[in-house]
Amino acid sequence: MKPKIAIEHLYKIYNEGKESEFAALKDITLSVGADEIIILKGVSGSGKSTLLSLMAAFSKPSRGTILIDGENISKLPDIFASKFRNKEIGFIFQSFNLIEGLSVSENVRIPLVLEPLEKKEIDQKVEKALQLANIAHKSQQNIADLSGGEKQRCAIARALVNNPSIIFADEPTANLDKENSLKFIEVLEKFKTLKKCVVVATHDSLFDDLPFVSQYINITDGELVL
Amino acid sequence: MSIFLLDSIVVMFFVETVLLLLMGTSMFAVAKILKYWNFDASTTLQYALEKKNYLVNTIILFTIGVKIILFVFFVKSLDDLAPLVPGAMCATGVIGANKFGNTLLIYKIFTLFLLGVWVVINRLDLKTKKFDYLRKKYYLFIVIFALLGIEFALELLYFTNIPLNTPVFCCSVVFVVENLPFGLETVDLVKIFYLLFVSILVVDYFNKASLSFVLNILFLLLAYYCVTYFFGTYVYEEPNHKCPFCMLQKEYHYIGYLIWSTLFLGTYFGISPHIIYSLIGKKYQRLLRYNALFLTLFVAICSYYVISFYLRNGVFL
Amino acid sequence: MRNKSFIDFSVRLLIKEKKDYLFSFFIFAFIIFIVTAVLFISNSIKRDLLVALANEGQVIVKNNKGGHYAPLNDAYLDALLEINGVDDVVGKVDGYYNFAQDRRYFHVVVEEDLNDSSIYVSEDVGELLKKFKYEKEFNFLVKDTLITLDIAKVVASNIISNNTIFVNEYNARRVLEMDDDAYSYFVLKVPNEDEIENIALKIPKLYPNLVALPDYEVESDYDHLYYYKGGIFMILYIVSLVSFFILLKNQISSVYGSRRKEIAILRSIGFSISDIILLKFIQNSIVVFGAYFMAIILSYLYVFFFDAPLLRNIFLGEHVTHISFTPVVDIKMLFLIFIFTVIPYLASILIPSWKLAIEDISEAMK
Ligand SMILES: Nc1ncnc2c1ncn2[C@@H]1O[C@H](COP(=O)(O)OP(=O)(O)O)[C@@H](O)[C@H]1O
Ligand SMILES: [Mg+2]
Repeated sequence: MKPKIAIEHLYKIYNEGKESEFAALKDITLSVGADEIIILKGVSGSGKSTLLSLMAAFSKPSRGTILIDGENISKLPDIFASKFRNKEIGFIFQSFNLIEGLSVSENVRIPLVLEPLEKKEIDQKVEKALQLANIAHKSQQNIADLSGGEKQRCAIARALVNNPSIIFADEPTANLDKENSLKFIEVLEKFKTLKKCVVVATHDSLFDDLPFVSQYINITDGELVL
Repeated sequence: MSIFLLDSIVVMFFVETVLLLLMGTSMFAVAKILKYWNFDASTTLQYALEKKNYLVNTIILFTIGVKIILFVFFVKSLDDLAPLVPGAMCATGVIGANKFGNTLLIYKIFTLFLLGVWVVINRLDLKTKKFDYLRKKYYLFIVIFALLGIEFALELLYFTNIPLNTPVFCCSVVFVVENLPFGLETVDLVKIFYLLFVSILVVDYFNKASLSFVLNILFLLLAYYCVTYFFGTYVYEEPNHKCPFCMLQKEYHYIGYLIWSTLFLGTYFGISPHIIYSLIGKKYQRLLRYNALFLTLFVAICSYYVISFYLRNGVFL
Repeated sequence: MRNKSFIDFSVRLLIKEKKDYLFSFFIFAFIIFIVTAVLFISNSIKRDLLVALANEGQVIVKNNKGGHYAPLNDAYLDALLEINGVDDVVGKVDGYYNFAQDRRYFHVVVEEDLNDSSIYVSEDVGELLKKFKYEKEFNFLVKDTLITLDIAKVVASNIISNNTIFVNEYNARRVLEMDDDAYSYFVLKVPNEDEIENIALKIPKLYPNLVALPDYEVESDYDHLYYYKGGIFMILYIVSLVSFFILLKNQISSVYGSRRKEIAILRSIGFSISDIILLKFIQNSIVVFGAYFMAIILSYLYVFFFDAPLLRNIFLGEHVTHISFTPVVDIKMLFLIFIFTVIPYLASILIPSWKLAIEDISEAMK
């Protein structure tokens, strides 16, 4: 079966050609199946975030290719790359990255404003995502008034609202207490039943030895350790 | 005292200057893009250029929007200048006040057409995954930029040379001698006009871009004479009032703006598919639909005046 | 192209971030306010002049002896009537009375409805006369006699009737010391418009000391004057406008700087570079149209309800008080202001918006 994500000889070199040149990723080759859950493990500074940001087309690699559904996403023009992010990817950040000053449901509906949808359809989708992420009861609350766990559930709802096929999570539990971290792991299992392709970057040992995880990949100094 | 000090002229030049400055800035980006563009490279430079591409697009799109607004403002200003220029009763006198006027007007319409073509090519380019038409789009833009520079100079020449002491000729004089093309009579002209209109509809239906190109240019020319010498007289309801500009005035409910804009838009959609095809080798016949739409609207408005006059008076002019 | 929910979202963000735009909104509204007020005033003055003119005849004939306007007499009247195409010639009396006590001149205008013993004065004259204790009546001092006339009414002043005393023709001749057969100028009625110009050209040939002006020429004289002044004003204004835009650009850049993270979040969710530019364009359009309409409404009130304190003095001089401007709003002027202010504003935000949009997503989110 064709992999969902296929990464080949990927390099990311910061400040290339300058004195401060630094290779954050070196010759990464990796593939992820369509309904696999992958945990990317590594200490801080090993290059996990860099890899995720390349896979989500936030930034461009220095060399190598990232094929998603057979398309080299790192060569896509911005309009296509953005559309790809919008439709195919849900990203859950360590610091949640919600827009302060807007309510939970306003945050969750943002990915949908880019699509030619009727207001009713948008409302339905938002409602569904809020239910899925267990945050529907707080939908009118301002982000600033939420606890860390609630913020994350809001972020999960936003990531799911467009029904993406891929979910990336960068240190999802770093800002959570143990209880909420465990809840996130339950969510992860839910992703499995939803048949999402999931990549989680973390150094949290809570993620060790989870039965539904397809692969654990270690990364050190920008290189995969097999 | 010079007409140059009119507030609307001052404002127009101010905005034109702002636009030229904006476009001038983007010319640097364009030069850089054309020089270093290499889509296959994964260099920081290439990615920076891709980002610059969006700046230039934004600036040009903005320029085009403003240019259209300014064009309307320009025509309106001509009308308002009429009381200042001795002898001028409408824009005819003002535009004919020196040898640059008519050239400037046609030139402005021409650059708007080209800008319109650029917009379409840009749209098509943005739909490709490899910036297929990027170079051609920017070469075209360089040409347009040069043309806009010339337009600015022409505009300066025109406005600084409007005489305020010697009387100019107005429409009652300028359009009185019927110098119709090919020595045709008005009636024949109108017949050909409708014939041409119908053939354009047919050609549009069969998506023939190059034929549409030729027919639309002919139609534009013919339509100008027909509106001025035939349909106009029904708008004014006076057999001897022949003028393409008076209909822009309030007395005629500004109908001229609708008449001329439907004509220009219509012909624009009729001729651009062929130009686009010859520039980038891409068929974009979809525009021909709008050609048919706008020309039909145009012909309907013109015919309405004739028919309504006939129904009310039982005679033609 | 984006749809309505995109616009709604832009508006929602704008409301949330209204503080960012407060500065540009008010400064910009102020700038539009000033330029609109100035144009309102000058258009209103021009209109009053033109209306006054429209009441006159079609060719105005004056005596221009030695560069000074001198009275005309009856003899000319008959001669002018002889000219082909002239239907009627009306002699007009009009002039200035020197009010020595305040060292100023009053414009003396004929108002036929008045009787031989009363006058009307314009508001500002009435006010001034009160200071000199002329409340009920006024003494014109002519040669060595006094002409005492009742002040029957104080009329509101507009640009034309400002500084004016209205009297009937009999009194006008006495006050201005004009003989019964003397006139200040003639108004020729010419029914056929096409002949106006010919007649105006013919008169000075027949009588070299006479000046003849077709009314549209007087009109375009006014036009020239006001357009000219308008143009100079505009040029000066552009200078201040340009400095404003530099200020604006800096302000926008710094405000945008603080929004880097938010924009990066939007980008990560799927907003493209063009979407961000569009978003900022929509927001700024709302700000700038808001400022535009607010400024126009305020300056309408300022000029036509409050009679433009301060600015009025610049236009009409210190001594002019009690003036009311006739409300004139024309679409063309609003269009002009729009092009003059809104378009450069929007032009000046394009580059900062683009800079904001192209920030590296992962960098800006850190
Ligand atoms: N913009 C940048 N310029 C230079 N070095 C960077 C930049 N971003 C990240 N790095 C470096 O790249 C390495 C990997 O960073 P990152 O991917 O954030 O690691 P992780 O997420 O595993 O903690 C780090 O050493 C970091 O200092
Ligand atoms: Mg990290």
